[in-house]
Amino acid sequence: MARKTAKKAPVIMKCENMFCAGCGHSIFDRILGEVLTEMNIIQDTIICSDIGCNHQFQYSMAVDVVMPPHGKMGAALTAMKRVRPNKYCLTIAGDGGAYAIGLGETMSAATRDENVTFFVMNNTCYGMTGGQLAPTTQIGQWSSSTPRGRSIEEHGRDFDVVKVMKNLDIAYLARTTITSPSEIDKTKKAVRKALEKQRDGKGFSLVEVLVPCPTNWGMSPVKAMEHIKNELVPRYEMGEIIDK
Amino acid sequence: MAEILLIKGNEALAEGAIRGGCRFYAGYPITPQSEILEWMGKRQAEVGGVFVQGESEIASVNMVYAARALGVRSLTSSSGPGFTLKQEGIAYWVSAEIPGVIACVQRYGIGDGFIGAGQDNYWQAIKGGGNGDYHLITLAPNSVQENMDMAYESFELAEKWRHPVLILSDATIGQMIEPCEVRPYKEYDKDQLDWAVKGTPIGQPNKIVSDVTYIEPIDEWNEYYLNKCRKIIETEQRWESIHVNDAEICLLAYGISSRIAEGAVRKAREEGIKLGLIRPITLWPFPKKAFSELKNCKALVTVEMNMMGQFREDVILYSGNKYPTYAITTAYKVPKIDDIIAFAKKIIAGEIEPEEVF
Ligand SMILES: Cc1ncc(C[n+]2csc(CCOP(=O)(O)OP(=O)(O)O)c2C)c(N)n1
Ligand code: SF4
Repeated sequence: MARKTAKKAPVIMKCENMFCAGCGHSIFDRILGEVLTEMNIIQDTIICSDIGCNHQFQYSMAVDVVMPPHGKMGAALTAMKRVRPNKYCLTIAGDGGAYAIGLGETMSAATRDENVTFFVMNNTCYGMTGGQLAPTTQIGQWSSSTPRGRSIEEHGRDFDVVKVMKNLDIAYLARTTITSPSEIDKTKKAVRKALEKQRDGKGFSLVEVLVPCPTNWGMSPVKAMEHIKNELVPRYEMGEIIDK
Repeated sequence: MAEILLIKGNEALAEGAIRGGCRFYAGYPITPQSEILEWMGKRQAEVGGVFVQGESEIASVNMVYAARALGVRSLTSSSGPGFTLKQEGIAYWVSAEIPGVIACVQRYGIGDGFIGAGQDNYWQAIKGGGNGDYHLITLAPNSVQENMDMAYESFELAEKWRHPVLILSDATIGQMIEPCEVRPYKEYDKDQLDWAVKGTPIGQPNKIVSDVTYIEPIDEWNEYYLNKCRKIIETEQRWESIHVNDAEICLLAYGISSRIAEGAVRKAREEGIKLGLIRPITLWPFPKKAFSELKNCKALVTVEMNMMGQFREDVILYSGNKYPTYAITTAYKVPKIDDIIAFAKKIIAGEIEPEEVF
């Protein structure tokens, strides 16, 4: 019987990543790396980096990168795509970057229906700065700046990109996760589809991926995955929401 | 024969940029610079470039960062509070060595301020504006023609040093109409820079345009950066001297104030008063070499449109504090020739002290 071995990393992954053990960013980067390699578009891709743990893809992926200030990817991608329309212009964004400090730029790119792609890593916290409240922090969830847990009265409601973007005239909107091989597969399909929308000039695409941050959640990698499955997925609308 | 246009200063600046190879512009409306935005909205389409009206100054400055990172000569412009919003983005240009160009058409006032002319962005423009150790290479036009010419050459200047260039104009220069000789179109290939991001096939080293924090060994970079700044200071000082050699009182003024100061020098000379003028054309690097032309100078006087004598501080600094240094500060009013001459007479008569002017 043939033994199952781990799939070889795609050529775009040039070395081991630098994320914490069990970090969702590392899994997502691998997924994206596979899609870019399989679509044979590495040389046609320019990634707009956010600033956050997410930015560390730069150290392990052999792809061209532009890094504007934290959260300003909506603006930068707009310019990138317009001056080099034949390139795939995408970002791997943090939920703090895309939905808090950069919400204006994210929404403006979406409402203009710019032909660019957002992959937003929703880990319900600010990873890099130590697990503070993010727009996605759930009601009742601990964060390092809301030590008694997030409450509507004290901290306001959480942000749900699907509720916000559902009615926009954009090409693609999906929410996925990476808690199991089948979920990873769904994420990979969504990543590919978003980039195909861009290739076909359909307009703005955004895939939000629910990812673990075991370090700031104070959980083991396995527990963090269970937390997504049991606590986050039930609260969210999952799957493909817009597919034009 | 060269084409001469009767044109507004702001339009000349925008056209100069277009002729100089600018093929990306992003900006946000604010008086008194909106003509730059509007001109670009029309002209970029005609020359095959890209115009984006950003959703804010913050978005616009970062659009320019990204377009320039991908190789395209790019410009943004603003004024007053809009210029303030761009400071974060400009600091990233410096750190990532993005040779972007920005025009600030100064308007007067603190906060939202007023829509008329002023020169009270000096501190913000010359002393950094964003966080970290930097100055922008700063050009100070004083005519419609210079608006055109400085925008025209700004991209090459920025590329030469991989350092941003600021054109520090003002509402009067921006709004006034003068004859202006139009420059020929420059060809510029967006693929010609080896550092620009264009997409890299596997097997070749990929490119990252990023804030220095994340990529370079910092000690080496600091040393390289300081050396670059030293070279800029040594080679890029520009100024104009008018009757400086024998001047007893030397005026210092840039932009619109320098036009009036020049008028004051000529009129005073008719009355036998030995006034001179040093007009910085670059504000950073400050043209400190100009002071070596002074032979008989008894006092320096800045003429500037703010309340606190912002420019005077640098004149004291760069002249080595060798002369009593006064400031004529006119806030939002354009200075008057006769007021400058009257001020000079008072200095000669020993009637005023060069104490702080506010
Ligand atoms: C203007 C600005 N404000 C704040 C910061 C500090 N900062 C760095 S990363 C970050 C948040 C990261 O959280 P998120 O965007 O969710 O990404 P993650 O680290 O979780 O991947 C912050 C606030 C910064 N770099 N720039
Ligand atoms: S802190 Fe969280 S988001 Fe950052 S690398 Fe570690 S696990 Fe990932």
